[in-house]
Amino acid sequence: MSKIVIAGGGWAGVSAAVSAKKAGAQAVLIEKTDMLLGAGNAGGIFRNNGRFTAAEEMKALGAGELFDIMDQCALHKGISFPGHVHASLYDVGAIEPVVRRFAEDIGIELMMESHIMDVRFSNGKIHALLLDDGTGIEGDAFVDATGSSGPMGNCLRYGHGCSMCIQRCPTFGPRVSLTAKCGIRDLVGKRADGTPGVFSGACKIDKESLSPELRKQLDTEGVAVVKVPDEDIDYGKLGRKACKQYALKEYSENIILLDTGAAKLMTSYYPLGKLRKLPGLENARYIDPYSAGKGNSIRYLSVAPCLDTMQAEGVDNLFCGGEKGAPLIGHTEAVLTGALAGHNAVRCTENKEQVVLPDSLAVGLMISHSHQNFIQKRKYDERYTFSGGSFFELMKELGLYTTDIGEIASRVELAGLTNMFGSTLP
Amino acid sequence: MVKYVYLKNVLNPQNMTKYKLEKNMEVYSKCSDYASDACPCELAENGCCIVCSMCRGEDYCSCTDTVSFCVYQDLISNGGKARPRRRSVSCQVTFVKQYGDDFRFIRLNIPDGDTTEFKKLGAYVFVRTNENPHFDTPISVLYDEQKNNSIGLLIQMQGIKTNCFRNLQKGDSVYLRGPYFNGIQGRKMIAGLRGGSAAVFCRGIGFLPSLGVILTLKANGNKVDVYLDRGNFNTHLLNLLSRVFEVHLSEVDMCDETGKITDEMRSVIDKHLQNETGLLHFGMSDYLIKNIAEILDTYSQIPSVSFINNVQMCCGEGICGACTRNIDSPGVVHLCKEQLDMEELKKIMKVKI
Ligand SMILES: Cc1cc2nc3c(=O)[nH]c(=O)nc-3n(C[C@H](O)[C@H](O)[C@H](O)COP(=O)(O)OP(=O)(O)OC[C@H]3O[C@@H](n4cnc5c(N)ncnc54)[C@H](O)[C@@H]3O)c2cc1C
Ligand code: FES
Repeated sequence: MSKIVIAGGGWAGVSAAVSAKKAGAQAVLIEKTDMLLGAGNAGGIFRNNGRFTAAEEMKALGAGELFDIMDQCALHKGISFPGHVHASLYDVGAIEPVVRRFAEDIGIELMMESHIMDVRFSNGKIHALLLDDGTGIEGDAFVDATGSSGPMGNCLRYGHGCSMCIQRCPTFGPRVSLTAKCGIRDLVGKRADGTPGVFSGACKIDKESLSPELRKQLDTEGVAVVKVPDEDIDYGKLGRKACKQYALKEYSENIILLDTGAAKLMTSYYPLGKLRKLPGLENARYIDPYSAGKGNSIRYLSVAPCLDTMQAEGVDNLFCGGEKGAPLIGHTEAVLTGALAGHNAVRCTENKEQVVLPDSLAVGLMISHSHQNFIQKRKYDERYTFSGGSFFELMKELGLYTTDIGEIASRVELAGLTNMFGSTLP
Repeated sequence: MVKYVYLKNVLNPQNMTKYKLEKNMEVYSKCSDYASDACPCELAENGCCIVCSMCRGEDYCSCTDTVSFCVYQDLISNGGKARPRRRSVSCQVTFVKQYGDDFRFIRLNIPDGDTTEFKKLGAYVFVRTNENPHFDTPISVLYDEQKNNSIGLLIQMQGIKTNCFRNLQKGDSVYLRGPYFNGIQGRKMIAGLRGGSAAVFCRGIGFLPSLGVILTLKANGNKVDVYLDRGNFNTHLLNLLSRVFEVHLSEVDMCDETGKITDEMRSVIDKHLQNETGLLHFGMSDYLIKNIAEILDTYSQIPSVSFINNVQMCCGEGICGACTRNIDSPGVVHLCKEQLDMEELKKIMKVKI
């Protein structure tokens, strides 16, 4: 049995471990913090716009488990907010233990609070990942799913300092780019003005600190839109945001709150004094990142050049998932690329031909389109998501966007890939 | 050359309080000064920080093993300036004792009374008796005594820099600069070993700076086997030290007159490699360390290693260059300040002499 070692336990890492396990390999997942899901503990939105299509394609491809868990943990389904329809919101406070139990149940070996520091690399291959206590974790193939945010120095230079986000670098140690350790230069996402790195696009407010009326509205409807006083509107911030799908005028003129267990504020950061001027938010308090009044984590500083199989260019047995593997935003996107990375890692160790998802599927197009623009055309100021921006427009243009589950199933069937991720390799 | 010493209350061992190591949150990174009171230092201010890529003027943060403390952040919040460099302070000698012809034990009063830093793994200080700041002698700290605000040093007098200590008496004063922390290579490996087993090999005076290593390993619940070759080191002192610090010693002849490693030593090393001992520590001359490195090379896998830092040094700040070595990494390493990783340790064991 081949052994796949996955670095980073965000949505991408978990997804890679699940698909490696299902393909018949031993899967070891190494996470530096005490929680899985990484930025997934701060997000919660899925199935909005084209993400619905992508989730259903993944289910038809046989990688539905993590979406089932999201559905099962959803507090709201089918809600709309500016620019977005049929969104679901999972409970960020409840989902992590569910994912962890699932991972353990299917036999993924979890190494929590284990900080990866370096790689043992020679002749184009990684032999082991080295933890900061000197332990080497050997494997046949590896997945780098360490995300693209942090460490502190980056948040300081390109942001407003460490904002104490869910990554908790000061406590659990910095993110380490495995691809860079193998000598591959990280590609860097940029803002509209060319500055490297992008602010994360949302923060969480303690729901208990909102007025009872606002809290009630969130509980029942899932959404609340509060108008910002004219003097406080800042259109400039849109260009600095990671999330293209929320870089809309409405998001400057209003604050938009979503109920993900906490009140998710759809802006990268917002001074607390200004926030408290808004009706219902007089006593508001941030809980993630703790310094969301001042800044947020800086992302996309470490994207590896990858092939569409998710193999890192230049390392035979290293695959990348999530934000590491392409300039993608989102849980859905991370689950997709993670699954493919984990699956191809197993194929690589068994000398089987690697899989590229076809452009006839939204999930395949996402990978090839984002790689082509970012790696080949060097368009570093774009990020891609099924839920908005240029890619969602492209999906609509090509007729790939649909909520018709039957149509999606036949699309996957036509590509000959039904349950591809679901079965062990022949 | 760092001269070593670790002793407790030499006058009356029975009165001593037991040497205790506190478990505090210590980060062992590439730079032994990382996150200390001296960090960020002049290296950071001038774009040469050992740890931080941003302070070196690179575009991105490539921190790997650091937590809690961001050198770059501290440099910026300090207005882009280094923290003050360690300065020489005048300390009173409160106790002196001579051992044989060449060894003199001295106890020094620390003016501000804070000796906590002096007991860190690998702590050493620069001392001198005269005004001339150019001839500081690096000496390992043998122990710290918080009750009496004092530290103990054992100095081997063998040359022009150390002979000035011969006539030193109680009541005299010496200039002290420090502590610095790079007296041991492999601090992280030592501190990281918990509930395992380690073998410590010392020859002669190399036992002194290795004492802190032995005590740290023991405090962390490891089984520690200590092997000693007395060489021509003061036997009385060795006996005293092992009694005071409660270290059981197994005597081994480690080398012949030409420095060739004996079969006896080889078989002890072999036994520990077979038994999967977690760490091998070497407290001996660089020449012997090199010979041992060649033996270790014949094994396909070896555990972590650590050894005493015998390098000649002068400023201790990573600036003057007296301590540099080339181990075919980009640039040279400053052994007064830099901790090496395992690969580098293996290389340096061989190039040093
Ligand atoms: C505040 C915020 C809100 C968001 N909201 C949403 C949303 O509502 N919907 C949505 O779809 N997307 C959202 N996103 C985007 C989405 O969360 C991310 O794009 C996606 O989760 C990225 O997953 P990933 O696995 O690639 O990376 P990450 O989630 O960043 O995971 C990387 C993991 O690797 C670990 N790691 C890093 N370095 C090391 C190391 N050296 N050793 C061991 N482990 C290491 C980290 O601890 C982390 O767990 C949001 C992002 C943020 C920051
Ligand atoms: S002793 Fe001066 S640089 Fe090391």
